[in-house]
Amino acid sequence: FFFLMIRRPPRSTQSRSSAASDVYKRQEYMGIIINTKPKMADTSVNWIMKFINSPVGPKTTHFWGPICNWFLVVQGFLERDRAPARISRNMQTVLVIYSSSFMRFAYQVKPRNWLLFSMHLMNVVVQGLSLIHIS
Amino acid sequence: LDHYGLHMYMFYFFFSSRRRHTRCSGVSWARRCVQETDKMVFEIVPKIQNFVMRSYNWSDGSKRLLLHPAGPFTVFFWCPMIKWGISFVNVRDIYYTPLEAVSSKLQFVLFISGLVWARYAMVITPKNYLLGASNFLMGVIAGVQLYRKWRAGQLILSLIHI
Repeated sequence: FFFLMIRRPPRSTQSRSSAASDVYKRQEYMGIIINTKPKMADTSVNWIMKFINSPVGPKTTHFWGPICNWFLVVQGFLERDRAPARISRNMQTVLVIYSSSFMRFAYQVKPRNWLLFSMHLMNVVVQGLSLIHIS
Repeated sequence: LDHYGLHMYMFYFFFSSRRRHTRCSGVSWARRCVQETDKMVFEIVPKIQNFVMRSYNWSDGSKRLLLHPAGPFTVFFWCPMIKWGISFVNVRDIYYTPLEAVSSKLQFVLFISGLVWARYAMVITPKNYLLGASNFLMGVIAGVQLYRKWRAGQLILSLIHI
């Protein structure tokens, strides 16, 4: 049976005899580092760091603008019990129209800004409820 | 249906090759409803744009403006236009509403956010001068309202100061 094995002449075999031990350590061979596990990207960052470094994160203006605008919603909520004579209906109407159009803007803009979208949604709800309550 | 007619009907129904109660799409029916609504509503504007572009032999500059990605047929144009409306209504409120109807909290928020957005409109890419200008004007007019409230407060204080 063994004469069926094709025996390569010695000079065509590789010169390295450390193949067995190369499994356990990184070795350079012909300029290429062999027997290395491909280095995986560091996926150990949690969602907080991912958010902080994202294009709509706290390092960008796309975050602080909507944060400023959220105070509109806070104001609407805090002034919900204001007497109707002391509320400017014009301003509330304009804010409702403005927020409903900016919901579409926040959806279409790149990068998509869900913070802005949610802010304008809540603004429509708050100001709209106040308008309905007055009228 | 007589007795055998019903048999024939059932035979036809169960052994005919017809599509029954099967879904076309791989998404929920609610999402399909939203898709069809979106198709109806949000393809109106491109149709209007096509009509306008074909109805007249526009010059190159006009064509460039009309087809701009932030042009008059996009939301990125009309939203800042609506933001100008806040400034105009605020100006109208200076002359046509009593001072007690002016909410100092609201004006303060508009003041701060107007200045912040005006600064950031210059910082983002691409720079949006129109957005910055509208926000700056909004902040300024809100500042005017705040000044009015403060002045009225000072007048009242001067009245009660004996």
